[in-house]
Amino acid sequence: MHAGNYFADALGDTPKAQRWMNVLNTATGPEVQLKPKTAKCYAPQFARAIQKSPRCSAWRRHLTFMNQMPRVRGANFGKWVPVCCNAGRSNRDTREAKKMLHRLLASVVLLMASTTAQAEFDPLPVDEIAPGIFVHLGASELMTSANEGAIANVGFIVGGDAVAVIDTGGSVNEGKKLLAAIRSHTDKPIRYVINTHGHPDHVFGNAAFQSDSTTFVGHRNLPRALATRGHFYIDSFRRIMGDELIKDVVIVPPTLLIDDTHELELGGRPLKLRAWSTAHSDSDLTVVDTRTGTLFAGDLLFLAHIPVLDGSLRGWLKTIDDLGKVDARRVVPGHGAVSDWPAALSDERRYLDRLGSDVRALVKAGKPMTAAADTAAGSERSRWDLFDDYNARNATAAFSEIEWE
Amino acid sequence: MLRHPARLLGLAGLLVAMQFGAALAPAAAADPYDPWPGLVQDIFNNRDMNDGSGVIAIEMPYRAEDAAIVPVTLRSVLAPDDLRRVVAITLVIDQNPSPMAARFELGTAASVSQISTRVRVNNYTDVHAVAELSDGKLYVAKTFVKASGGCSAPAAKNPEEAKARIGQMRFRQFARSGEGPTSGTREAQIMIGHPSNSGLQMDQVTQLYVPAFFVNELRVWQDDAAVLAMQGGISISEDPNIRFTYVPNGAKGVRVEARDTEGHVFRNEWQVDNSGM
Repeated sequence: MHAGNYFADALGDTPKAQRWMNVLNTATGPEVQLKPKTAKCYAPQFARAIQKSPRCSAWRRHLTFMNQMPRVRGANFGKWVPVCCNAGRSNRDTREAKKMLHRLLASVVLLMASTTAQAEFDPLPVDEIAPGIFVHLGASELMTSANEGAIANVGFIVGGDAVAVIDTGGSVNEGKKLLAAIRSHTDKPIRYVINTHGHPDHVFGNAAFQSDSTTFVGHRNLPRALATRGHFYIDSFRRIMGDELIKDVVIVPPTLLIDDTHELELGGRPLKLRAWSTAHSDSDLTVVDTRTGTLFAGDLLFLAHIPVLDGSLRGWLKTIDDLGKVDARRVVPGHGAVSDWPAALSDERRYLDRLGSDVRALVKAGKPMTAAADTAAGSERSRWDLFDDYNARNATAAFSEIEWE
Repeated sequence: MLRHPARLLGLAGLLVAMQFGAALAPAAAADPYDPWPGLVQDIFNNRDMNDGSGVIAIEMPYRAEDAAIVPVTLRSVLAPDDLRRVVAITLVIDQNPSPMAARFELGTAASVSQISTRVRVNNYTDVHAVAELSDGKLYVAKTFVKASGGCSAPAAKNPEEAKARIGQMRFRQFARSGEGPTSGTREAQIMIGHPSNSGLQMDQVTQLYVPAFFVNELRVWQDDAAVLAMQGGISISEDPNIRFTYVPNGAKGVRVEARDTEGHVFRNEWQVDNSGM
């Protein structure tokens, strides 16, 4: 689609659209193509489209003009103006551009729907780990098209009146299979979908559960985490898992936000929710089914799968101390087997302690960050799955935190 | 629009391609498009790019472990008897939303030979380091970085802490391993607490973009002699962190001034250890 058409359609026949058209017609040629699927807002899209034009030197001549447009007001930077999506002042046009995009995509979907039958989904294998509590254990792997992103533990709790789902998996397919598993055990309504945090392996199945009667529940920070990361995750996992598995993923921000603690009721089955300060991530939420003493720890607990640090190392170690006091008999970790509580915490605590002390020694010795990625917590390698996939990343994150101590 | 009927044909073609493309090849294809020629035009005004081997080296991990914090080292590899000097180094991350990550200007007498910092990497990308030498020519070196996978994202891990740290500065000096005090070269690090919002993040509730807010200028002096100046963009990681080598001029202190896009100015100075460490 030519950039000019795109904006003309998005903005309508207005003087503003006319000005954009003039800029675009001068700055680009018909070879410029916009890719609607990657468009988040049209300012960087516009910039990218123009960068792709062999005639993009003309762009420079129009920067002055573009700078007057509020939504592409870039930060001045010498001769170069990075065009930022600084759209705080005017979003009407962005929304219209998005609507246009949706219309375009919808027409494509309609065309395709005529040839594609609605796929049926087999139920996700689940175990009843305690009366009315069902869990699917994720594979100790990275998210791939082969495993459909089903690497995290997901589950559901059936109460007297209703069902609560705890995490929805790493693809809409997994979410639909989880839904099929729920329906094979109960026809009670799904009252809540609780997201233990915002990582893709836990929330990419949310779209399978969107309905008027289902409330999405999350940590007070979860909407922000999803806003800053959601689109990046979708782009990133489209590359990794392919468009077929990712195209239906919807970022669903929670509407019931947990500040501290909160109790949900499923009919004679209260669930105690607790929001934690930054640890594994900045939006970790745990769930306790008091009737059976079962703790869903989300990614505050990893077993066998190496812990992944995306929040604060010091915060996580502190959280582990408090988490250990939670009254429960068994734990469903975010990754790894259902285990006795709180004994299950010891491996993770040992790894994070080691990571912290190794990184602290490197910072003290004046070593660069790259040294941490190479060596920190090396003594833990044989004890964890996926060590080489995540340890260097954990060390990098820990280094950038600990050097501020 | 009607001036270019070919474009309408192009649109129809795209729709057909999308339908069949989606049916036949569900996996997303890699983007074969190379932005570098366009970037040379935009950033460097299409000046000639000379081969940078023997002039400038760039080191980054092959895989970005953490999309938000990817270490990068730029090093002058000019022979000791080369009379030319590096005037400036520009760091370009081709596939980032704002490709020009930073431009470093090197003080005339400070002999800065190595600069390390940390950047955000959004995608699989070439990264270019372009050195401008005192002969007025540009020399380019290139590396390739694979984007990180998993839950890594080029966003803050702990936004509250980043906010609380705004404007804090740290300065450290390091012994240069393998070089005695006689080499004269020192290594120092400057850290500035700043959330460095990229402006590319949309608030799901308000549908407004969180405004860009980042450190766009950092200057370092020994007393009044310039050591290093950096112009930065949104590709620099939060809490900008610059580690560099330089040759002391006998000054008693190092002075730093940073500015962000909201006009805040952060200043600090530190006594330097002249003992030879």
